Amino acid sequence: MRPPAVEEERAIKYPEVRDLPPEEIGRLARSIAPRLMPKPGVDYKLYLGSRPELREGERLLSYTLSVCPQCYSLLVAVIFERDGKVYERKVCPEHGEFEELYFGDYATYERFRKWQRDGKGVWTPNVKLEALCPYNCGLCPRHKSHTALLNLVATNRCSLRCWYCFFYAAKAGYVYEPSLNHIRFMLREARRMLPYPAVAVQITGGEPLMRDDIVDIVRIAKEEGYKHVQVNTEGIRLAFDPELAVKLREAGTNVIYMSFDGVTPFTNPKNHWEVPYTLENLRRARLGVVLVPTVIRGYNLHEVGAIIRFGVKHADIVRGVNMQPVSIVGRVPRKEREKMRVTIPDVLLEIEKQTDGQIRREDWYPVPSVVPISRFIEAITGRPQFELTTHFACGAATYIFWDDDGELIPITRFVDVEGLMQLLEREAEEIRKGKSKYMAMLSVLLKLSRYVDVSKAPKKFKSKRKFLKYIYKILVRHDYSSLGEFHYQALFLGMMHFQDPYNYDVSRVQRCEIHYVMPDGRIVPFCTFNVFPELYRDRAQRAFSYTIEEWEQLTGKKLSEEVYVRNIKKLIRGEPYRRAYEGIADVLSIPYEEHVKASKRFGIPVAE
Amino acid sequence: MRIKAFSFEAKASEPRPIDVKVETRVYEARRGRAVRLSCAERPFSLDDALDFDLEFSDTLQLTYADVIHGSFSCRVLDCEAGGDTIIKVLDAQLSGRRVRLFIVLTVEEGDVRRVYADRITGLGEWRERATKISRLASLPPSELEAL
Repeated sequence: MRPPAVEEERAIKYPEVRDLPPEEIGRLARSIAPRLMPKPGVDYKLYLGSRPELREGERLLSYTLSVCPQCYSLLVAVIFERDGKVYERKVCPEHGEFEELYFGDYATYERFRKWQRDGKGVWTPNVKLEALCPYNCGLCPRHKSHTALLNLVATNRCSLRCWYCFFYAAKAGYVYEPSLNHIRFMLREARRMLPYPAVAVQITGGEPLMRDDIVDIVRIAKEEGYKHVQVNTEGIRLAFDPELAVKLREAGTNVIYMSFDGVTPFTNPKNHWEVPYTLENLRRARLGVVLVPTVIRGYNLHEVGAIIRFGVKHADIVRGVNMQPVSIVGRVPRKEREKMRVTIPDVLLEIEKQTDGQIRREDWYPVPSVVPISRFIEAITGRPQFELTTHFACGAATYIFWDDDGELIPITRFVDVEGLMQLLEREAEEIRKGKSKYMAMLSVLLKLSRYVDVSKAPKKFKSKRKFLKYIYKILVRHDYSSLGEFHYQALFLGMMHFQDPYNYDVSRVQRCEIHYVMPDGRIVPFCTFNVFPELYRDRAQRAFSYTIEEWEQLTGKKLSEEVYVRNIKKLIRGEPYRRAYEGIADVLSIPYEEHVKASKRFGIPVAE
Repeated sequence: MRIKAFSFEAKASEPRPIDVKVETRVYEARRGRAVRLSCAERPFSLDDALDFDLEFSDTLQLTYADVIHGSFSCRVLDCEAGGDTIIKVLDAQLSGRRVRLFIVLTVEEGDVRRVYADRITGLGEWRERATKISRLASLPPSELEAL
């Protein structure tokens, strides 16, 4: 059994402090933060005395630090190769052995590993070093990467009651909803970071669109200097409120980050029926969207190709598809985990199969593969740059283009990505050794065309100059808009595998770039915030929460009445519904009763 | 006052190649001179892991979680200091590249405070660093260069 978490009553009466100015809330928050840190001996123990042994047929790749999925204690884990796959094994003296698939293909692991580049660290840590990683997050001086995307939880309210979720307010028993002044303080905390402050923020939840002041939150983020603001939502409110989409865009939202698990009611019972209407409203508002499928073996892995085709079909408004192989939370027996478990190479293989080889495994590169671009720009400008130095096993990406006949063309078919990155890395090194910046820039510009074969490019890039212009703008002008322009010509495909206690690797979390800012001002990597909710997320949010009664009194609303009831009949009759899935999935032949069953099974009631 | 320091070698290939050798010397500032402290040596134990991170997570961007990936041999130096300003000199070889880093500690009413540490990822010009270290350690720059 996991040791009981430290009993945390609410640290303050939130209604009494919510209206304080940001600086005062900040002082209060910082004074509470040390009390909320994980407690050794209570929240976790250290069992680092022995290394797990290898067995016959296993090849050692590395040792690392991991945790016991049951008691969160720190353990030494071995990472090894067996039968062409990579596994992690660890032994907890109290709870026994745990073995988990770490990466589904060893060859991809090796190909990705060579791209690993580490960041410059965090020069302005928010917490003192008082415990081993991952029990000291805040960020601490060990952290190797700056924040690439800051998550800010705007509320734990949600109008859905998905069967697997324990996070939403009604279930948690309290309402976490930081005031606008509190949010301003949190956003400022991440802007203080050196050598590179946070510039991108995702407003998330719960369901952030449950807040009536969501537009103000976006505006505040822009005021605080965030260049990129995205709102993470299931998109349901946007399906019925076209004005909200317009207001969000006008306030400065750059993109909507929307859950989208499949192209049928059975694989996407969360928002299958509403998505067509959401897309229509976003289209009218000219607000782009990234589709975010959580991929689970035996559930929707067979639809990854169709999801990409859906993205291409709506590419006028869909900016990317960012798949997330499932993170298995809670206590799940090994056999059950094996049925669900899927890792990045497994999804890449399925995409290859389901797109008839149009998008191959080799077309994907790990996240840190773009570091040479940052390093080159840094060498040119002399200023630290935004760089993606996450662990190579955390994520992968590519860009795809398409021709009129529907053929998908990954960027790697006409750009020698590897050669180009090597060129940039070499030139950056030359500048460090004293080469003139202008000579280096000229050298890159002269050599650029060697790395682009336009004969293999989609028709819209048949003019070599047009494509090189984009690369030139990104490398030389290095402004955000040039990258945005490039994005509009392509569909970004991403993959981000968040960890769970079974496959946990401390070396991944130390390099994490997707962070959460907590109400006490600490900034915590995604995979400590969500993997140890009792030690970070829930503890911090509860400390700054309203009781349900307080919140209802303050707002005049009833939490129990905030439940979405789906009108499937109306939704499937609409023209946008038919149009959205046409040519992707035959959703019109599905009997009405099956639609209803899919929604109810998931936990969303249906208006009969 | 006991001051802890580390001399170690670490090699690993994952997730990124590490090939590091660090020799640490510990000095005390006495009337404008740096006097090397004698230190007892002992093997590294798990109880030292947090102090290892305190010493190297910013200076070399290296943590216990990094060195556990591969081979790691480490001597812990326990040094007895009587003064109130301590200077640690880290002679590091990082994949063959030699670099010297400084840490300055002050001792006040039994508390050791780290007032300066070079950082490998943001190492500025030596002259600038020397001015700062010299001021904090109450040592002339020439004395620092001789260490």
